[in-house]
Amino acid sequence: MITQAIFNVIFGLFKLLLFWLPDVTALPTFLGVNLDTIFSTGMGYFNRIVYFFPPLASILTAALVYLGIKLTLTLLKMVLGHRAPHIT
Amino acid sequence: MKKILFTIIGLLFFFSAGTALAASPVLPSIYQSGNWYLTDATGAIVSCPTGPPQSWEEFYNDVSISAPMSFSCVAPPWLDASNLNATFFGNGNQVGDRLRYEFWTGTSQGGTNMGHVEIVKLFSGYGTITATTTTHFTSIEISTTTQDFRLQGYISPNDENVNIIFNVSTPLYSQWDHGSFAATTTGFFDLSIPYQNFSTSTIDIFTFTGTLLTPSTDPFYATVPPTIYDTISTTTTSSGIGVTHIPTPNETITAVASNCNPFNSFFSISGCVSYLFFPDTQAAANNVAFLRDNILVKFPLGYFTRFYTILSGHSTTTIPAISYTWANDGGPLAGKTLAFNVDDYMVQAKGLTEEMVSNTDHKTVYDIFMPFINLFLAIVVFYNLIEDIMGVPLSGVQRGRAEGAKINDKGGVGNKSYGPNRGDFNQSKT
Repeated sequence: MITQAIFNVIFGLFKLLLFWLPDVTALPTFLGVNLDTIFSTGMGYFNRIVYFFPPLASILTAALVYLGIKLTLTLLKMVLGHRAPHIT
Repeated sequence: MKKILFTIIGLLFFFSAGTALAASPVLPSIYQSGNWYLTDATGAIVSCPTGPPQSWEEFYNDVSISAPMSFSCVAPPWLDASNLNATFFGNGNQVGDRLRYEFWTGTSQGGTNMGHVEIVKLFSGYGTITATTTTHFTSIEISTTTQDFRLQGYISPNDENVNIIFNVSTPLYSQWDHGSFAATTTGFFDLSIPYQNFSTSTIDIFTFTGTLLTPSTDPFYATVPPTIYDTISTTTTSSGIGVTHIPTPNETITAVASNCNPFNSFFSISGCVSYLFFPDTQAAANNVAFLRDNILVKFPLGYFTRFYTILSGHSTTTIPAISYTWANDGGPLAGKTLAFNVDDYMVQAKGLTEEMVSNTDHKTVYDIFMPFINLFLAIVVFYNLIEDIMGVPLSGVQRGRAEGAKINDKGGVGNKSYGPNRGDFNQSKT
C-alpha cells in the first residue's frame, strides 16, 4: 500500500503538470506526407508478410534489439562525454 | 559476419519465395485486422490436439456456428454428426496469445480441398474467469475498479427467442443477482452485474454460479448442468474489499484476506508487510495503464508512443495486386491484362507450411524450426554486441594488427572502433 501510494502520488503529479499539453493521437503530416498513414500501412504490409513468413519478425526484432543497445550506448556517450566508458 | 548475415537473409528470402510460389489447397478463410478467420468449412477432425482442450468456452467465444459440426475428440456444444457444415468468424484473436491448434481435414463448401485447417484460439486470460463447464454462461469477469461482475455467454441458434433467466449466487448470498432477458438474437450476451454488499469484512471463498433456469432447447445443453462455477478468493481490508489478483481461466486463488487484521483468521504479519510494500498485480497493471493513457500520450512524448504503438501493432494490410494492361496497338498482347496478386499466392502457399506437420505432436515447419532461427539470431546479435562493446573483432584481431597502416583516426581498423587497446594500435603505428 505504501509503494502504491507513492506511485499514485508520482503519477498524479505528472498528470497535474502535463494536463495542459495536448494528447498525441497520430503522427504529424510533414511536407504533405502523412507519416502516420505511411507507417501504419507499412507495418500492415510487414505484418501481412510476417504472417506468411514468421522468421521475418524475428529478424526485425533482432535488428531492433541491436540498434536499441547501440542507441543506448550512443546516448550514454553523448551525455557523459569524455567521462563515458571506453566501451561506448 | 556480414557475409553470414547476407547469406541468412538471402536464404530466408529464398525459402519465402519458394513458399509463396508453392501450390496448395486454399483454405476458406480471410485475414482481417490481425486476426485469422475461417469463413466456411466442412469436414471431420482426424487428429486431436495433444492434451485435453483447454477451454471449449474460449473457443466457443470466437466461433459463430451457423450449423453444428462434428468433432471426434471432445464433444463441443454444437455436436451433431449429421450436419458437418459450419461457419466460423473470429472475434478478437491477438497474435502472441496462447494458441491452440486443431487439425481438420475435409472439403470446403466451395469444393476446394481443405487438407488442413488450423483453428487458432487464444486465451486472453486477463480479467476473465472461464467456466469449467460448457454452458450458456461462459465466463464471468471481475473488475476491481467497479466491483462489478460480468456474465458473458452465448446464445445458440436453437435457443433463439427463448427467455433466459439467470441467477447468480455465492455461498454467502444465496441470490446475489438475478434477472432475465430475451434471447432475441443469436450471439454473445454480456451482462454487467453489480456486486451487492461487497464491503463486508467477512472472509469467504466465493463460488459464483450462474444458472440457466429456463430449460434449454439445445440438445447439448439439455444434457449438461447449466451452471457456471469457478472459485476465486477475495481479500478484505478495513476500507473495503479488494481483489488481489485477476484470476486466469480456471485458476483458484488462495485467499490472503485481512492479513493485517489480528482478529482475523487470515492474520499474517509477513503477508501484511508484503501487502504494504509490494503492490499487487492489478495495482501495478493499473499504474501502467494510467501511465500509458495519461502521461505517455502527451506532447511531445506522445509521438514516440504513437510510433511505438504502430511498430508493435498486429494489424495487417493486404498487399496490393499489380496489374498491367497492354495498349491496343495491334500487337499480340494488345488489350491483354497481366495481373499479379502476391497476396493471393502467399495465402495459397501458407497452406503448404501448415499441412506439413509432424505425426507425433502435430507441429508445423515453423513450430519446429522457429526456435532454431531465434537462437541463431540471438547468437548473431550477441556476437555483434560483444564485438562492439569489447572493441575488438572476435575474428579479426590478427588481421587488424597486420593491417596497421589502415588504422584510422579513431584508433581502429576500417570502420571498427577499437576500445581499451586502441592505444596499442596507435603506438605501434607511430
